[in-house]
Amino acid sequence: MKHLLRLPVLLLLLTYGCSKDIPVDGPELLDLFGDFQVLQPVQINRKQADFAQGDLLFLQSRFNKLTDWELVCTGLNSGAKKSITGKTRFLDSTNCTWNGSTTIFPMFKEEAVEMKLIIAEDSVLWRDTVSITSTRVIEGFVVADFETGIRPGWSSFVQSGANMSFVVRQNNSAAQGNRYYDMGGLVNWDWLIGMIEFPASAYQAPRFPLIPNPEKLYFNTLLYLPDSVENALLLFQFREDDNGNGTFEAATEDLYSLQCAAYTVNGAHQRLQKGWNKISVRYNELVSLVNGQPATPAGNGRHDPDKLSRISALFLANPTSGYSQMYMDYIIFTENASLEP
Amino acid sequence: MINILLKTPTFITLFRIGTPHASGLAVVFLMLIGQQPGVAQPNQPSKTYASSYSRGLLSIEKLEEQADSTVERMANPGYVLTDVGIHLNPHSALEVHAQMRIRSEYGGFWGSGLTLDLRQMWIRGVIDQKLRYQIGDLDYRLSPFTLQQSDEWILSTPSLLFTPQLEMIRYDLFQSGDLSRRQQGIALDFGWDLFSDRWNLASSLFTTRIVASDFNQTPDRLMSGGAVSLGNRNGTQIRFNYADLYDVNQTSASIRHLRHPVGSVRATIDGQKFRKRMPLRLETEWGQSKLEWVGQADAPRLTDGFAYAQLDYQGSGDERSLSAEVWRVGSDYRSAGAQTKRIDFDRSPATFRRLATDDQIRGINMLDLFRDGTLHRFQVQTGLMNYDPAYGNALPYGIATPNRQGVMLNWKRKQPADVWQHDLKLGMLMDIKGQGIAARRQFAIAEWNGSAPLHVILGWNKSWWLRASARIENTSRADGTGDLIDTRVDLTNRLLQLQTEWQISPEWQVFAEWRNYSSHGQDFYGVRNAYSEVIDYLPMSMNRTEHWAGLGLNYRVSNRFQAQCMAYSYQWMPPAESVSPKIRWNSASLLLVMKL
Repeated sequence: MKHLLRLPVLLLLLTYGCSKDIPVDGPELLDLFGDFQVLQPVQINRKQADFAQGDLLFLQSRFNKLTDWELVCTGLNSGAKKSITGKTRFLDSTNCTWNGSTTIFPMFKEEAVEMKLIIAEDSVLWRDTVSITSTRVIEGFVVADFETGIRPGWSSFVQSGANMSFVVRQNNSAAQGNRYYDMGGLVNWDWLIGMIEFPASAYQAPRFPLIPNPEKLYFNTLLYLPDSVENALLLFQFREDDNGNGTFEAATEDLYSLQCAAYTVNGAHQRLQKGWNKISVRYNELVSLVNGQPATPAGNGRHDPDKLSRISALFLANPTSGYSQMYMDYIIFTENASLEP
Repeated sequence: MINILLKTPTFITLFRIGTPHASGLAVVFLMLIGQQPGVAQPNQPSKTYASSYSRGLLSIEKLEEQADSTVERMANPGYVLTDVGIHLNPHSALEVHAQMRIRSEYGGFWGSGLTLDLRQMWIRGVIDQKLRYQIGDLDYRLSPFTLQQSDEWILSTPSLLFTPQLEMIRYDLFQSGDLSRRQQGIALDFGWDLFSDRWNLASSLFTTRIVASDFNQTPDRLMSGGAVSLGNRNGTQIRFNYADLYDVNQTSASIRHLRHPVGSVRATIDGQKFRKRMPLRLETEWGQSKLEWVGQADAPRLTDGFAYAQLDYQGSGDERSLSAEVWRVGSDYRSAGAQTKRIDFDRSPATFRRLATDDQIRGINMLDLFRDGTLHRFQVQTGLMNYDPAYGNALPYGIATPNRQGVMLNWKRKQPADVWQHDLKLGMLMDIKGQGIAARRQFAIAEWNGSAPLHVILGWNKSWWLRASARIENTSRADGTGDLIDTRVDLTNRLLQLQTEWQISPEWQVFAEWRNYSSHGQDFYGVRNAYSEVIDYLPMSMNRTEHWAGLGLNYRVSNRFQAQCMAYSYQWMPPAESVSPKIRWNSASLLLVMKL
């Protein structure tokens, strides 16, 4: 019995011996409730950025405590914005780097950019202006950016309604570059207002040059919904030439769809907000629809992006709902990740 | 030689427990494994018999808010319900039980307030007199650190006014007195006598489903485990406990799966059963836990352990007992089966949920904790639930509270009736890791309960008792950061209670109770993320006082029928600078409970 009484002591010693030597649980109270101080003034690594050549801009600084911060970059010409946030004790290339990408459209141009570092405890802590000498290059297959107008080989159909505007426009409202495609009109007898098609043949190939793995391929586009429009619906259709005979046969080949709407519609769709929207969908998440309802694909039922032969964008609206409008820009396929604008 | 323990007729008798309060075969299993005290045996039931439990409650509630002006509101809630259970015994080794609940809210007219539910169902029996099983609803427990409920500190002092209503909630939520957890699944039990019956080996296994898949992002979550116990006639026992809470792959589209195994070894040595009798009993337990989310790279992997020892001294003759506990639970020790709280402090009270003052949600108070069943829960939950430091800060998750080490002393003088009775508990605990700073918090616990037989002092025939309780829990920490910020902690929760109970006939008792509860001081409350890691601290300043006073009349016939009517007044007194109003809550209620 006397020996057995030693057992609890041994167990406790064993547990103490195995304990981790970390004295503090959770964040330090000083970080949460202490006064904020800058230990190293904020500095930027360069005043000019050639993003096309891979330049990066980053800040360096040190604080006395864990700090919520936000770096806001604003294009002085385009109005583009980039926001980077964090909660750290320091700023450096690992947590506060800007590669020229955009948070709020339009995308940055070659322009002067104002950079502001905002600290919750101290409002704007630092401010400076840098210049972009070239914008970043986005990897991917660009279907359309409308910078050179309508490409030869694209085809369009526009109803003979009122105030029809299926045209490429050039102004500062473009999400990318200087031009975008403006689709609008009033058609009170049909859902279809107009459409534009991008056949692979317009790129001098029977099929789009895409990877075969639908899980690694993303379809991206930028869509603008005007403030006053509530009825817009853009239907993308993706036709696959499954048998490779150069033509799409609706009865035996796959047709996948993507609905982007200003309102809630039946089935899978992307709900649009006012202003520019980034739409990014993995290719294998495109669905088969017949009259807006889910349906079984007519072909092999596989998502085969390397067999994609035609993309169509159909601009639709309820014929009783009045005028509708939407802008479209920068249709691009990216691999492994969605578009980082 | 190996004999099957279950061949004994004792099992058959235990197996035939048929009251609705019988906590199930799994508990019977544990009685054998864990050397639990026996339970009363009912008469041998017929092949089909019924059991029932009925109760009714009617109360008149009046809430007064005293802020800039006084607002009064009233409510008259009430209901009647009955649980009807059917027990089928097709043969001596099989029992099927189903229990229906019919509940009618007062004012629900022509069935509009009537609900009908299947409350519980199980099948249990024995196969070939060797293997016992239970399928369906079952109550199960392993040890206080692996799978067992713990008492809420604030609810563990009995109240003559409100404990009957708390017992109703516990009955509704299957919170039985042995602290087992109600689950749904299957349990098996088997055992052997070894070495000429000098040792016995008992095993118990279980698998239960905690969460059902939605076939989208929520997978099936199961808990599986059991215990293997090896004991001898000298009262020495060693027991291995294991409980694993886990998500089942491929039952949903989620690629993230929980793995949460907990294991422990518990050893017991009972000196009373030694040849040379010693008044000592020693229990120790040591274990480890792991909590991780497989398939989620940014999720943490928490592993830690605990150690516990308890030494009991049982005096002979004068019935005095003394016990000392010492334990240490690591800051990353997680045990869903042991740490899931009975109270969900994220909920809001059901009665008078919104105050008239600024339309604010009314916070939970001590009265709600005793009376509001919607605040209580019994399902096992992963991680650590939120708690209110004002209602228990030292051990919010029971003895398995992580990041605690300390000692506890219990002294009891349990004499025959009509003699002074006391018990005293003193504890000193400490954080293992500092909360936000290196300095660690210390917790001091002191509890005293005493009973005075006034009828003996006054020479009366009818019994008249006066009972008093005092409980204090203090949390403290010195400032550890100099002048930078104030990190001091000093929080004191205090409960004082006086009760008197006068028996005017064998069935009738008159009682009265006064209770005062206060929580004053400040602490930093650790805010946890979905993985139960502390990610923030909220400075909490407590300055509240509550008290109630009431009296009632109780009519009781054995434990089959109880009627109680009572009236009380409750007050919530926030600090003067608070925007919350002072609350006075008066109520009168009538309560009937019948068990057949």
